[in-house]
Amino acid sequence: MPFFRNLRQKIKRNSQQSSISLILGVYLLGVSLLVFLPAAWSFGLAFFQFDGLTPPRWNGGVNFILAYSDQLFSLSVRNSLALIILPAPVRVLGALLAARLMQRRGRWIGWLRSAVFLPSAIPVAAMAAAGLWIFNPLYGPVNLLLQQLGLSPPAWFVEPLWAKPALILLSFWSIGEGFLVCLAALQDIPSEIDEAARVDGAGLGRIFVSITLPVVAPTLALLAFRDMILSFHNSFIAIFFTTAGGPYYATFTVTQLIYEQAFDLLSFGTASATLWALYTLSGLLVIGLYVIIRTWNIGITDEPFIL
Amino acid sequence: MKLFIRRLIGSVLVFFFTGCSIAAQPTGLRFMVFGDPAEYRAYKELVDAFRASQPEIRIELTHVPSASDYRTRLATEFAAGNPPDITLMNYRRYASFAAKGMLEPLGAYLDTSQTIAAEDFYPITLQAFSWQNEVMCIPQNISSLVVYYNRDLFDQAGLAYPGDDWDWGDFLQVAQALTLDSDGDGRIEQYGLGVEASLFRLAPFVWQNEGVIVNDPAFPTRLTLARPPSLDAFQWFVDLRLVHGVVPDRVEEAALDSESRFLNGETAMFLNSRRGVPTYREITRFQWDVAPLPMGKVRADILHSDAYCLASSSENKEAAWRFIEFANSFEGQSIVAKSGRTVPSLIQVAQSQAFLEPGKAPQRARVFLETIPYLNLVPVISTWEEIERTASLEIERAFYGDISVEEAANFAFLRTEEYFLIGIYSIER
Repeated sequence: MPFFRNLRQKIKRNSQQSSISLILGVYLLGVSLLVFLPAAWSFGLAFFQFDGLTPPRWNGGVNFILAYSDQLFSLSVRNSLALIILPAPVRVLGALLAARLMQRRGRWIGWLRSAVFLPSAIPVAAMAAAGLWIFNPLYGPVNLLLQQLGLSPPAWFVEPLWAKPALILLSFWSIGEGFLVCLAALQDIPSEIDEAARVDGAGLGRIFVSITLPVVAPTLALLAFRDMILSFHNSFIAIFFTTAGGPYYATFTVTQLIYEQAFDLLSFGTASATLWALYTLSGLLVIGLYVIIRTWNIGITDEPFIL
Repeated sequence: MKLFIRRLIGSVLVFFFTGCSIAAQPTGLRFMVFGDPAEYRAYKELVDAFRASQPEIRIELTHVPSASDYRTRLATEFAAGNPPDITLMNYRRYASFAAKGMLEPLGAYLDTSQTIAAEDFYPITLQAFSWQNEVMCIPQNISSLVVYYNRDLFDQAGLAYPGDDWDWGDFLQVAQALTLDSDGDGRIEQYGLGVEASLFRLAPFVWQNEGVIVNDPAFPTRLTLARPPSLDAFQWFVDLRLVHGVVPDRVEEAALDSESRFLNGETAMFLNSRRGVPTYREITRFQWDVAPLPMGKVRADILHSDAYCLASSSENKEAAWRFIEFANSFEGQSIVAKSGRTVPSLIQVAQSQAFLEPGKAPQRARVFLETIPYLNLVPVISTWEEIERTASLEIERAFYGDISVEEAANFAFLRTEEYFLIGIYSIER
């Protein structure tokens, strides 16, 4: 195998730096082939009339006019913002609270931590199916419990007003990753600071607000933005399985609009034009993320960056 | 280093292209259907019988559970350039594929066939699948909307089973008598009726009231639910829920849909086409049967029909046709008919024991045949699926009392106008 012998010699001869570039080069190639090329292709499609069946025809900016003048477009953008941007900070805060509660070592703490993290490992589709049952307006455990407490519970996914809160509650299922990161961030706070504050007479709430929060704030911001960008794209499955955008468009998001334009109407051009809007929104979030990283120097170490 | 990278790229590309060519090798025919597990078994049996009779043709069955996901799946496969050779499509859905030239017209195949001929079919089924004056797909069935009813619940209430000539009044009376709050807690335990709030379910009632759903059946340009006879029928339909409460409300329907309630024995009557039979035959806890739709001013019903379509990109059209021919031969249609899935489109099979099967539910299978003269079609337009879906959202809102029927009719008209405009019609204008 001259190829591999060659490779071994090369690796030996070259510095560590270039072998790292080599490994990353393969990755770059994969990303280019599987992500950048298709992305560029679908970006370009915005200027064509394309049904996936016959060759694309150039039609200039018509798709953008068609896409952005659609009543469903502005509605879906509003829904996306409400369902994705707003809940993210709440979700991250929830993860932090859970992490704070389970920060200390104890007898059952390992089990409890696993219990918080494990649901994140469940596929979204399974989670959504379970969600349909949990929030079933008549037979679901949530409403049976609320009824036992003497409340008259909402119909969740069936009511326009409550469908969004139900989806947001359901998304708490997957705070596991954020929980782990928060746990790590909390461990980083030297325990002397906590003790000093306690000696000075600060209560638990005071310590949390005045010490813990400020110290982990950059991590939280990072998590929140990452959460938003991710759920922009990932929330589709959960919504599609539970409400399918209903009741009467109450949970109709941009991703679903794109899906329907592309695969129901076979109008890949307008779907792509709508995609531009989605990418712009995600892009703004990435910029926010970048600003946070730069401001607080998160994740930037003294070691030189490779790429 | 450069050499290595070049080799690496080379090997990746080689892998990529050989991978592609392996995938592109002919793998025999692909046949895609939709339906419940019980329906799937019927097509499995059909495919097995075909394999036994023509073992030289390889065929593979793909199954998609839900009919609404089915079209999206098909569209994706067509767009990816690798659609199934043969697909089972509803006449409300095939037009968007036919309009794009994705389907091979089968009229010429049918004309030269030694096994089947156009005269063997109920004419309305071939009419439904005629695209620009040519038979596009070969219909397998001629189903209609009927009333499935739980005989045990009728017996318990001391009610006579629905007659062949019952009307809207009788229908409502029975539904009211069978809607029960048996423990008096204010919540209804048993509903008289279950029906989907959609344009496709509403349409036959509009026709029965001498109304129309579109302005011109041949070249429709708009929905016409707002016209008086149509609107009256719409109001009557909505009143089943809002005034008489014989149908579950939105929350109850979402918590447990009417079809499941019927299967559980908690709903006395359920409106569906023949498609439900294979699943309902698995019911063991009660006896059930079918009755025709109740009559309005006139008798009218709505065609439900699916057909075998051949992809124009298929590389093996001859073999695919042989399967379609087999599936629509006396033998093939008998196999699927025996499962209960179809009201056969072949007149001979429809009148045979394979369909009428005495001793098996529904005992009144002849109801389906007696309805045939009163069947109407919805328009065949490439955008009909979108029209139906958009209109149904508004109909549903009226059905559950969010808006009035006038508002719903108007919204349905306004929101579907564009689809009529961009739709491609089965007949050239």
